[in-house]
Amino acid sequence: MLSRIGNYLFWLGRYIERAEHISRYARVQYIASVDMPMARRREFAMESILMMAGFNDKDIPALVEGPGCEQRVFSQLFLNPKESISIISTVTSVRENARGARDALSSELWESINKFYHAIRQYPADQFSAEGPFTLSRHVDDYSAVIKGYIDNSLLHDNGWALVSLGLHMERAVQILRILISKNSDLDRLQQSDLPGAIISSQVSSLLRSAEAFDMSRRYYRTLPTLIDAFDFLLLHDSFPKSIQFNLTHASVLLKKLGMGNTTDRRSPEFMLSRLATRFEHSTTDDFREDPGAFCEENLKAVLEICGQIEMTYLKF
Amino acid sequence: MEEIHSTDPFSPYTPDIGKLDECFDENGQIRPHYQRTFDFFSGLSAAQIESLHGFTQNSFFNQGITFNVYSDNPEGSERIFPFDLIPRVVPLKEWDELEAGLVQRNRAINLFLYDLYHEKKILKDKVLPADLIFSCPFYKKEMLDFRPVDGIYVHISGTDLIKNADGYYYVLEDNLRCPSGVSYVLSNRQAMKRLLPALFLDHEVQAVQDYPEALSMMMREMAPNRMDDPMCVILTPGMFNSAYYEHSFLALSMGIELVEGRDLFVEQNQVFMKTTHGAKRVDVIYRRIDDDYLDPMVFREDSMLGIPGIMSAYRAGKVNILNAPGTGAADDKAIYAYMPQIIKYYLGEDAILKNVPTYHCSNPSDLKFVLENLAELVVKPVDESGGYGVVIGNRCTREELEENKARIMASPRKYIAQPILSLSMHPTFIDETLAFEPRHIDLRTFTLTGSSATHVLKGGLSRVALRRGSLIVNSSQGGGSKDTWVLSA
Repeated sequence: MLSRIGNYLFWLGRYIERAEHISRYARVQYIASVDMPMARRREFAMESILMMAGFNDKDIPALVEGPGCEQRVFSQLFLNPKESISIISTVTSVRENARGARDALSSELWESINKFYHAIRQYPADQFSAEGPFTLSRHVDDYSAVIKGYIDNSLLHDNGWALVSLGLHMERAVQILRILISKNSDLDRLQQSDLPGAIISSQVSSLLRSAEAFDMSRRYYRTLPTLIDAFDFLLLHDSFPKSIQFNLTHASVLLKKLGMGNTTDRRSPEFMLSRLATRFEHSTTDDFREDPGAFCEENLKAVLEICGQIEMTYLKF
Repeated sequence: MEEIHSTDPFSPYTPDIGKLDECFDENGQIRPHYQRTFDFFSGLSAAQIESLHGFTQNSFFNQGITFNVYSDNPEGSERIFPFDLIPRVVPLKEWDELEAGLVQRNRAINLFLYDLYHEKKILKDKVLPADLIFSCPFYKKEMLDFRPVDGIYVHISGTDLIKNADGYYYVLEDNLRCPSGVSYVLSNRQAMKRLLPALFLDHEVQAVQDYPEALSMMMREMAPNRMDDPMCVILTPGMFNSAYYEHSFLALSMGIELVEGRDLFVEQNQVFMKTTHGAKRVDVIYRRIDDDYLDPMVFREDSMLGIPGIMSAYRAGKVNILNAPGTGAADDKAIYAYMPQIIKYYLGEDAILKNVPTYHCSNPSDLKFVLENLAELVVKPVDESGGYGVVIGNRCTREELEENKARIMASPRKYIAQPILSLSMHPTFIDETLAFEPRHIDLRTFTLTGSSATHVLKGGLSRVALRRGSLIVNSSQGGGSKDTWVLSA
């Protein structure tokens, strides 16, 4: 496979996952905030959303303060094509990467991506203003699920598929870590304000819902998970597909399947990824109980470094 | 002429007086090979036709069957190629003659190119003026004395034809560099089969879906040294090129890599592509970039699209490039006029397909005639494609005619002129009126030439000028297309 096509496929996977997680996080946090028994709940939710999406800290106050805060934040986050982090920009990147690798994709997969792009681009601005992000964000979820279905069910499970899947898993790990960091920061702020426990529980629920983990975690713990349970579930669960361990393990297998390099070289992405996945496999809640935020920050840095190393080593053209 | 009532609310359909209508004869009667098509559409309600039409356009849009129009706004430059529901139907006998003419023309063109880059006998025998060749920007001295694999220069050609009011097909131009449009032929056919299977079942229509396989076989056959399992690729300028959809479509249909110049490099006269598993040798390149951009070491130094050293690898016989560089010397519109003589010279046969009479503005007597009769002529730049720069005399104001005269006199070699031929017309569904109306059409055919066989795609791209009265059918100028059905009996 051409390195350039490999690069497009890797980023195709990454952008799909990025759009889905940012969009879902925004929807879930917003819905959760509307009945939160606290002052400045709007601003609180919007700050969390912008932080998770990756907006610069210094730009956040101008978007959040003052009347019309949600409208301002959501138009910027969803439909502003000049904002590189926005959903419309991310979906455009999904499509541009798919176009670049068009000959490596099935027609069914390409068509689903193309429809996704047009659905977002043609979404009526007045409808978005009136309804808020809920419907559009659900569209993102639905299209993303269809696209991932076609990735798994219409592509040859060869190197091309492996690279898209590698991109999906790596970006999912990045996004889940960003969600955890953002939510941890929210909870730090709430705990300083001595707010009722119900708010903390609601934050734990919204954290899990942001990763589509609420139902399965309830099923697993048979009760509403505690904050540490939620972190445990999203970081270390070995069979939940959004957990960091699950994604790193699968990404490591895919990278080895690609069989591109030397797995024993300590600077090779294979070695780095395998080592990180193994570290997660042997981690327990004791490793992050004291400072979950720092644990997530450190691992986010490690995941991003491996992504960079994959590109540098194999996908440069 | 009498109005022809097809079906409400689409009637009346009124063929234009004095024009040849593909579907109706001069008495307003349906031509026999269109009877079943006409009956079929007559049986549909207005709402059904509108719905089918809308469904097709949406389907093309969702599939990304689009082309790019160069503009300042890259986001606004992607367009669907409008597709019309009523197919053009060509009887077998008519097609057989066309096909024979196309095969003949391509044989002669390949012999002509070989001669131009070797002994130049045709110039020595003064069949055509040497100046015309040596002043042609597409004649490449880098090809002199080089023999491509099996002496074939043009592997993929697109020939534009029109049917005149006299009922004969005329070749309008040869496209011998990077002819585009075949992906739309295949996509149009796919759309028609999905939409109107019953209409297909009523006819015996020749298949077009074998084109990618024929192209793939031809490419493999063209590998240097007849190697067994050559690595064939398509070279694209990239996804912002107007024909990128077609490049990716062909690569996908043949299961080969679509490469850009930056994916390739040359080492010791061998071309390689950069893959995730290291360098892989490339043997055959179907290039969709112009000669000038192919190799910055030989042609344009500033080319960011090409591969430094590829011409050296090509001349060393380590890679084959399809079509060969320098084929544009034979599709210059000024050379076109000599095609009947070229066919006669190399094959000793009369041309089967007719040529449109052509005046060379580089020739003083022709120039005088052109300037005196500009209002009755079509003037074309010899080195443009896509309908750009074409001036139709009877559509110009007096001021426009004067401006064009000045332009021609400033660089006569750049222009040819032809009488305004009457392109045939065809019923076409028009969005604005939700009715079938007559529109001008042409036909682009596609011919593949390999060592062992010549394959003519049985159909082609029927392009439609969607604006009433317009003769410009090019997609970049608002044209649409139709499926072309060649009947097998």
